[in-house]
Amino acid sequence: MIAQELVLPAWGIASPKRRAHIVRVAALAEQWADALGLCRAERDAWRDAALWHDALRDATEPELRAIVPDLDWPAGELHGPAAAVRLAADGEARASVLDAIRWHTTGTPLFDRTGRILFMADYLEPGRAFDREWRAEIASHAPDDLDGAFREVVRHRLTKRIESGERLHPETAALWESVQ
Amino acid sequence: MNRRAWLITGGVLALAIVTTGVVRYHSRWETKLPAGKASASAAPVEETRPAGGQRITVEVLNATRVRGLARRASITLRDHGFDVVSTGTNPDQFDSTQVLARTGHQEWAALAAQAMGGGAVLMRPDSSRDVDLTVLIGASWHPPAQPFYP
Repeated sequence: MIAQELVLPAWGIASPKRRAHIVRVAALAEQWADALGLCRAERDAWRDAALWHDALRDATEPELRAIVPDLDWPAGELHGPAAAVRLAADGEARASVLDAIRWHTTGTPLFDRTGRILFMADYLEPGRAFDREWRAEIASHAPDDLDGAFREVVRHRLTKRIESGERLHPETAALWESVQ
Repeated sequence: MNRRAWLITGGVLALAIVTTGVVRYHSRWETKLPAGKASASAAPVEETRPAGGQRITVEVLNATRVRGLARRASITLRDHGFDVVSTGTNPDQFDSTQVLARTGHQEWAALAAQAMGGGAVLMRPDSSRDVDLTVLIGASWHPPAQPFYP
């Protein structure tokens, strides 16, 4: 699939650059699913979570807060929960997919496999410019040891934020604790 | 008194001394135990029930591949005053213990985490579960030593 072929939900708001990222995340998740020989249902869950996770990434803050008015989270963390709400309203009932999307930015220690895969693929997809070699190495070996790769990604993703003294979302802090 | 009589008398005296010692040893330890506690109980259990004796309902889910942890955790939580109403197995495994607040009482979840010797407290409201807390036992949790009754 290429970015132009990606069909987001009708309410999706994503730039061409974002669509290209979404397609790369989905491709990586599908690559891992194929390597693991997953059943159709779990493979579909991984792919769909990847395809929809950033469906509202380029929505404005007022648009996002209108969808999830009860969340007082920072604006940058709202697109996941907002997309999950819209998908649920559309009839998506797979808790695995909805939770993966809801928590993909903050992370959570309660991720199931779909959540962990999305969290990893979102970070390891080859389009990102930083630490290319390290990320490619982790991505290539992820199917051999999903839990190990997940721990590596969590540590790599959060270490600098913690060292900088950034205040973490409680779920993010709990995720960090869970991999120590 | 012949040699045989001396041996019998000495044996009886030695037995009496040993018996007295054993009885005194046991009675000394038993008087130190709080009423209603098993003699082999370890450190006194810290009371984590909130003021007013509020009943906190808990479901305990084993999020490891180790059998029996949910039952052991239930004992621990009940010792601390929580009302464990169900146990089971979580479909996913976790490394660390998580306590989920289902009815918005984060402070109750913190108490349960404290009773478990540590764990992340997360807000996960879910009225359909009919419990105040869900405790997910992670692989890093080690149950306290069980009383030993020889």
